[in-house]
Amino acid sequence: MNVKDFQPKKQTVNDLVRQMKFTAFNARKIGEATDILEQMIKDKGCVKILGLSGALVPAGMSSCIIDMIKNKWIDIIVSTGANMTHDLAKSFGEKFEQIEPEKIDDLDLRKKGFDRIYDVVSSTKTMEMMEKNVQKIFKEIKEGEYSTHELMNEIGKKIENKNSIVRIAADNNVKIIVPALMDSILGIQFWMHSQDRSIRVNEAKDLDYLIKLNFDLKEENRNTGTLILGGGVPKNFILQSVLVADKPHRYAVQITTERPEFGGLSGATLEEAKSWGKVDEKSKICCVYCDATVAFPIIVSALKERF
Amino acid sequence: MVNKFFKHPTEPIEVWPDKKISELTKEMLKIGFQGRKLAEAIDIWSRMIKRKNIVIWLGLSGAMVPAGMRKIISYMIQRRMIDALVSTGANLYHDCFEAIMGKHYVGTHSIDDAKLRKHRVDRIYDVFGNEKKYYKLDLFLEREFCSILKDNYPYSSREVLYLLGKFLNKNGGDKNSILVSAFKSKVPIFCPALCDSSLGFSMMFANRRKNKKIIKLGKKEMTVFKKRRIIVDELQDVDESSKVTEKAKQTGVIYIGGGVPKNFIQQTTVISGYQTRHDKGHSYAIQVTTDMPQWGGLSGCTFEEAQSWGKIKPNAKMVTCYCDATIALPIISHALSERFKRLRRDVPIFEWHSNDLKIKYEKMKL
Repeated sequence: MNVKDFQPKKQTVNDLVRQMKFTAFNARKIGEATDILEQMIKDKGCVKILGLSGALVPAGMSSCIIDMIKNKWIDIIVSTGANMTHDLAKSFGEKFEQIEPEKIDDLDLRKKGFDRIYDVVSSTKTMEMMEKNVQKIFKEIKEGEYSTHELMNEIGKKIENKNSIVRIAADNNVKIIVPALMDSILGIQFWMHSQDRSIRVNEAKDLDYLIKLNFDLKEENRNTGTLILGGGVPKNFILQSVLVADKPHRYAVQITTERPEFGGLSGATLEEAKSWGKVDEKSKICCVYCDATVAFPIIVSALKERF
Repeated sequence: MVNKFFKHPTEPIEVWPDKKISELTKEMLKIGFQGRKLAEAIDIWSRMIKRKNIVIWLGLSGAMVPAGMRKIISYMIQRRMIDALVSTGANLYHDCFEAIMGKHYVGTHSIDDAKLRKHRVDRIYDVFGNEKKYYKLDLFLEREFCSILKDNYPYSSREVLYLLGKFLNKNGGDKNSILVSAFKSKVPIFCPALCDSSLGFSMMFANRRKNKKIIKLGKKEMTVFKKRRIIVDELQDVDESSKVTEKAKQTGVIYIGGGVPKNFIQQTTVISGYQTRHDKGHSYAIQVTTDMPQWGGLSGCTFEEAQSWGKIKPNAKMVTCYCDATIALPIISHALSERFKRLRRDVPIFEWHSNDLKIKYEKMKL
């Protein structure tokens, strides 16, 4: 295949992405990743998993995720606790303000009551508001033992704001698994609440659900596919979920800035995942080395034009 | 049946006091990730040093001198663990600065840069430079050093830097300066992007200056102002550097960072390949970098990619260590100094003739 010169012109995002596919380096990867995701969405019966890590919600990526859910491009979300915390806080009024990270004094921010996430800040007050509201929600949930996705579903049903990932996921029966829920403010709030009532989270139930699902899919000859934004716990959780049933993901796309040379899983190549049987030779895999806030909106916008 | 994948177990590193750096790095050969790569780099460098009839190139980029790596590089030169150096202009300028003018200072990376500007403090990540003293050096180079250069002669950067080393030595420059030790050890230094630094623009300013000259016309004396014309000829650099690789029986390379120095040394193999119609790829290759291959740039590209160009031999010993050079270089240099307390090596001696280069190998105790 020849490289084709990129033509600058008035064009849609999808046209841009199609052109990118015939260039090189990571622009080409964006083109390839979009094609793989298109195939994944077209694959009827394929269970599609989205991995969320990094502060995507504060960075303004919520609507892209919500759009994917509404379009039925996603069946399961595996997320860090922080993204879900911010999603809830946002639905209760948390706002993120742009700042210049090079010019800001962090101790000054502390005094004024702002938390910084690289180049955005939010008021600590809105987080307090979220804590109050989420405690109210917890009180309405029956006592018992929940998997994290059951708990997120219970929470989602009680959120009024329709710009919330948690709410829209509950509406569309998309499961949100938060394997490290306790590693977030939402987790801390849940722990506080669980001191007075017999309500518990059991992470093993999430695994139970996912592993059973994989065995069922294997019997029904259906595929799984995943789009992983960043790495971290969600990446590992999504990849390991197929090990027990020995059913490699058919589609796997990762968008990351992490690198393989330091030996960590976040940066490990999808080729390395082949040696573990997490993907196999039939899998369509692609890793885009790019800030997710650049690549993800482009890919989602291009997909939106294709469907 | 013994599985061929499970022959060499990793060996956890044990901690005890007074362990030598060379002992530690030897143990690091049996661990994982970039720790092992660092140990392998030391191993490959040692092999290069022991190898007969080899020319060892070093490519130096990034602000290594302000970061305190200067004496490590000059140690490598003095003990001939390297034979030829390609550097960015900035490193040589900073070397020149530390040799005769001043020091760099421990600073911080999180500070108001506008405030630094007001105080004429130049920041290099977390190191501070004194801009007024830089300016003094610029003037000194323009007036004093450039006065020894001829007009209208196409110098290669190697010749200019040899003269600069000689000049610094004469003017009481630190003997552990890179330029001075290279001058004394007859290690050629190339700076293909000389003009992309204060060294270059100081020489340019000398060209802008008009020199007073008194000419005798019969009995009359006339004052003439003549513009200077110092010429640094880049093509001469390409010619000379490629001859080093061409005439060497074999070559090894060490890249600290990437940039122009890496490409410049890599391309010598391509040029001498054209000249000799044989693949002249490097036989040993070490790279310490934090750049990544995924962006498609040359600084981050792998040696495997270089093999497709014939820049590295197919059977070459090579390793890339992804690490900040300010971490890797001190460890590598100490391990090597411990390994080679006494060093006898066939050192290549470069004889530069008007249009030719001869390399003789001389046994030396270093």
